[in-house]
Amino acid sequence: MSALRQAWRFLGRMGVASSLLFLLLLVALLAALIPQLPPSIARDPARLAAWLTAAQERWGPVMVILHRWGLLTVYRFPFLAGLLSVLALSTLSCTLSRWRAAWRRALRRAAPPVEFPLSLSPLPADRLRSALRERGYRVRTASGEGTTHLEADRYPLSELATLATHLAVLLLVAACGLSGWLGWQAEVTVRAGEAVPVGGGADLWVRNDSFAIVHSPDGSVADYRAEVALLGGEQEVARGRVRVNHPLRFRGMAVYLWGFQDWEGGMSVTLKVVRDPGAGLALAGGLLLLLGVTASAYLPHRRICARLEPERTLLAVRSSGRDDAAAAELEALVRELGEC
Amino acid sequence: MLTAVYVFLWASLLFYGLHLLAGRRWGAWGGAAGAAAAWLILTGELAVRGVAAGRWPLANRYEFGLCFLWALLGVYLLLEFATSERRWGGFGIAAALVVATMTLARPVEERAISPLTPALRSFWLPIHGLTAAIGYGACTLAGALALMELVRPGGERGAGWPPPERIEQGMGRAASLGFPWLTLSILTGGIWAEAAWGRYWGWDPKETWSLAVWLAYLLFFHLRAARGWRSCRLAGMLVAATALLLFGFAGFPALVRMVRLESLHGF
Ligand code: HEM
Repeated sequence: MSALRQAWRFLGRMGVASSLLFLLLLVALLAALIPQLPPSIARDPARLAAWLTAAQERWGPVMVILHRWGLLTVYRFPFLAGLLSVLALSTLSCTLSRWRAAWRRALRRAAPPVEFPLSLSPLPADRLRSALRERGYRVRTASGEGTTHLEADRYPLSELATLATHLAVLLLVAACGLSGWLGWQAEVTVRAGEAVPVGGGADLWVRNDSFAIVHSPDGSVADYRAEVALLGGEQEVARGRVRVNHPLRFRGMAVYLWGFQDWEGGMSVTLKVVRDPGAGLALAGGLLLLLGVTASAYLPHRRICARLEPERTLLAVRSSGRDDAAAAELEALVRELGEC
Repeated sequence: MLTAVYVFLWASLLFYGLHLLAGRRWGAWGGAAGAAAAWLILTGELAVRGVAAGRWPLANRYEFGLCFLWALLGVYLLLEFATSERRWGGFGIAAALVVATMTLARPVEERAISPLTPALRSFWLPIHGLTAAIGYGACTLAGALALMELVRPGGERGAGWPPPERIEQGMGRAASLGFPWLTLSILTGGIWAEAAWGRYWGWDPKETWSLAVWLAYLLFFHLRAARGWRSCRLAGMLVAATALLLFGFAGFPALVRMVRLESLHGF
């Protein structure tokens, strides 16, 4: 039991997290520099063989070796799934070990500082309080035995920012898992006026009603438009225009315009039909991540504590995470108090 | 137009250089004036392009380069204003000159104002592009200050330079300010990719490179929070992250074309 606990603690250490992030960075660099097989090709043995032959002609036999090592499908790399899982566990361990303290700081219940690095001549509490309020701080005071203690906080909830970013990382890893396991996509080519089944176990057909290329006055292409309908059984369940950047969405599925071909008598369009149950979770994770990193960079929690004694005033500042401007703010405050 | 910006940037570099290396006080003012003039001209140029084209000036890598440069200079001027520190101006402006040169090196055809291809006509183009430009600008500035930390002479010869802790604070602040923008640009890229290609992430080379850059800056924050790594090694880490970023902007697309990797991204 204690060995398990030790392993769990070890996973949550910063050095471990940094090593994992470094490994993921290396995987990303590899995946960017080595051409990756599109999943639709990787799944289809016939297309895969054709792709590999073409790739071998282009880049030489090294492609076969890369394929054998799994480097052409890094996203399916068992190593990547493993790495992401360990990364998630590491983040979870770190978060669980830190959330209590962060929560206390966010609720402004952290213990006052023991050391005050700055000592000034005595200041009236009122002046300090109003100067801090002008800077957007919430101030609390307590007096006793000739000393006044003052605690001023700004953006205390930002203490939770790092928790939010790490929670977001968990959501994102979960989203990748969902998309990878339950996601599905297919490409279908449909001639004008005809309908084909979309596949993937869905009882749906897609019909190509028309396709048009719109030109701007200067002759360049302004738009590609396909009018398509989705049929469930005999009935039309959805209909709409599909353009580049504008898919047709229906019950967790989306239809994308993927290409078009001339065909005797008309145009056929290639549509991509996608079901991605991880997309919503990925969006939620992304937004939470953004919220967290923005709060920790732009709205750091700062706490300025003061001890007003009869013969001197002691000041200290502490801030959440990396806040390189906290000391500068304290200096500016001292300057302001000295001036007026 | 970019030539005028270029001239002002060189002048600014010269002034800031005199300020740092020869201790001339007026050098700082000259440097700031040159940088501000370059920024104003760029602002005008971008506005004129945008109005003439009837869209945001983010249609190709030349225009993106202009926005990148604009953001880098803007963030630099803000940082100088917020910290009243002018001695690191030379490094900030040198980074701006690198970006300006990369932008100038784009093929001349890209300078013409052209309509957007259907693939680029999206609500997300300006948001995705602009956030990337701001993130790139601030993060590149962080790299420039990190380089300053690395080359700062020790002992007597470094007397006129800002102290190492101050440079470290500056680079941390720039990276910190830039990071949420990088995050936002990857997020909006994902949303756009979902709308355009039916997946929010597809291991496309350009996408994957941007993830690598993001991870490199993230690694910097973690190493810094660990408190085990100080000044020089951290600065080296940031310089490496910035090299990845700049390669992603200028070198990587060329590499993609050279080895004929397939990328859905135009730039
Ligand atoms: C391995 C996967 C991990 C990922 C992807 C990750 C991601 C992040 C992100 C996005 C941030 C926000 C940076 C910002 O505030 O702008 C962050 C900060 C932070 N992370 Fe992690 N993290 C991971 C693991 C860990 C672990 C295991 C720990 C525990 C030791 C940890 C400790 C921290 C701390 C203390 C910060 C705040 C740093 C600062 O504000 O400078 N992280 N992390």
